[in-house]
Amino acid sequence: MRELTLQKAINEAMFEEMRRDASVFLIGEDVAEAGHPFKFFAGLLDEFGKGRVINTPIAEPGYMGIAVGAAMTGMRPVVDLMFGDFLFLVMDQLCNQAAKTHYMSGGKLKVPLVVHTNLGATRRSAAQHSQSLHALIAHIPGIKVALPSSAYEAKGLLKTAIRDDNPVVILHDKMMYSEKAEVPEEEYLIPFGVANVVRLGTDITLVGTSSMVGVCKAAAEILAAQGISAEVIDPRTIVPLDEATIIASVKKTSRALVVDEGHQNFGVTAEIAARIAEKAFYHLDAPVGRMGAMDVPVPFSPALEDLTVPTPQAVADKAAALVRGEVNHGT
Amino acid sequence: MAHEVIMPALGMAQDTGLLVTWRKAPGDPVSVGEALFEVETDKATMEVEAAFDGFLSAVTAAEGEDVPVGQVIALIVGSAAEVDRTRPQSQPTTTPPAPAPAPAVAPPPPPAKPEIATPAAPKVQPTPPPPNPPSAPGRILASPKARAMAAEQGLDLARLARTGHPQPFHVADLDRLRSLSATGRSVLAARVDGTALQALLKKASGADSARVLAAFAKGAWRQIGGAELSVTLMRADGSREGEGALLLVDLTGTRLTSYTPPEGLVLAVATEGGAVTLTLSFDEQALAFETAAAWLNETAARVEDPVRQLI
Repeated sequence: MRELTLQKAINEAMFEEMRRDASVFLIGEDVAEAGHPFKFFAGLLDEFGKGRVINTPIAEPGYMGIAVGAAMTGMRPVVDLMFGDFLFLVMDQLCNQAAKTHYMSGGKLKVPLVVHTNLGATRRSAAQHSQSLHALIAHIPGIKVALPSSAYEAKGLLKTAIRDDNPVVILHDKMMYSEKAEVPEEEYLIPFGVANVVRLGTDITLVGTSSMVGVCKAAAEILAAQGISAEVIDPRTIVPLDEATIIASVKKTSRALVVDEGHQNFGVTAEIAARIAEKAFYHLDAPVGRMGAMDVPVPFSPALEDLTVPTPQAVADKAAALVRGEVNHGT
Repeated sequence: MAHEVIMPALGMAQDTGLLVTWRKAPGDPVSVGEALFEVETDKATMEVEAAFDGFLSAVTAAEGEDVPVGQVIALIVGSAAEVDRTRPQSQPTTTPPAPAPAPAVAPPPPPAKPEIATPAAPKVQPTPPPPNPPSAPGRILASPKARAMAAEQGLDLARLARTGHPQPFHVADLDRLRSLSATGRSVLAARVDGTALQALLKKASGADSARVLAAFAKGAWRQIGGAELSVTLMRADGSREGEGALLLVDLTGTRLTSYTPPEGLVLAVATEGGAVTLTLSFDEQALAFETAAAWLNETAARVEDPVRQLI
């Protein structure tokens, strides 16, 4: 099968959806002639024109508000935030307006918009362009959150996001833009709320999101060399979360380690670990482990930045300690 | 003429107001526009002003009290002479000051002893902290799954704990516990002539061999100084009778010779030709070897010579 980069997979998804549905339009900074600094949107302007590929000033709250209004009145905007860190700028439009409009209008209004943005550190982009803020969004009822882990996932999930009648925030790890994966020629969608069991195993369940799926897969290889069989699960969307697949896996392996690139405190790892503890408690043979990004602003220094995120070796070490019964919170 | 002071409604959806502070005390002169008290609602804390001139009187709401909207909480009276100065007790507010430390569970006073005259001035001794409760036999640390599996399989984690195996226990440690169960079992056997027993059972036709054997085991237990022994009877067809500490397995009249289940205190009795064999399996942590040996020996003696049972 052909291989595509994540950038190219997103580009295809946009072309396909904009051709399929004339109400889909793109709005954001540098998305038109420039096709976005990360080149997701190259060529869209030529085919769809300035009416559907809209460049904006550097004013995220403004164009986010435009998109919310457009969505409420029947359009399907795709809003590009060049960096996930800019989610802070659009919190009111997204969390107070878009997330609640369907509910507060008694179901009369829908807000079918997509926020297309990113997460992930280690790109040497410093503290304000390296954050992984998906947990903030996942906390708010009314917004779905998709975290593609490859080019294949990115295309299928973005197409589903555009067709969803609710606000969806889709975040790609910016370190994965040029990573390739097999992407079929024919059209496909990936449904929300259906986790992907990436690798089967018997000793421990590694739940990873976004680029941490790759980290967990690499960790599983290291563990295999030590005779430990790890199962790797990619939830694909954290809202909705496919709890059943995770719980079933933990019941089988009796151990779990949750890995996510958001800060560990009060984050995605905490939520998933808590659900495992609640729903698979009597099947657990070790405390549920979790690894998030270190709870510090992301450092600019490369040497320090690399220490703040989970690595395959760190995940494997922690998983091995859980399997060997070496994680003990004392008497 | 007295005017009522009520808890005002300061918000649309407000049912009660928290009276934070009285700015005036009963008897204080008040004039229109002066702050009377502070109320906290869910949104803000606000001052409420007096609507009349006069003297504050008959205060019925205490600081810290959550008062329903519209309730009369004081009066403003026309002259100092009319003032009712009673004040309600302050209530704990929603953010109370740390409550006075509850009296510590102090050890009971020492029993009164005949006082020996000691010239020393009585000093206030600092109360010694109560001694720690004797540490409980020890909560066993085990993973939820290990605990659940042990319960399902009838394995006793305490037994593993007694061996000093490091905790917390995980599922893998159950293997160790299982091997302990398999190897930790002691078996004592005795073989005696069965002629007298056969004769006894024949003579008392209808006598149940299992009950006779149970009687021997109980008698022997008493003989070696044991307290009352309860017995479960089990026959070769698997039927059980009673509920007791000893499982007596009657295999007489069959070709079976012994039975050693994984757990518990078990005496199996079988016949081999003219002989009777008695097999006692037990856990030496629960029953010392000497006791088991003396007991089985005495039981076997009774089988050999049932008259001993009557002595």
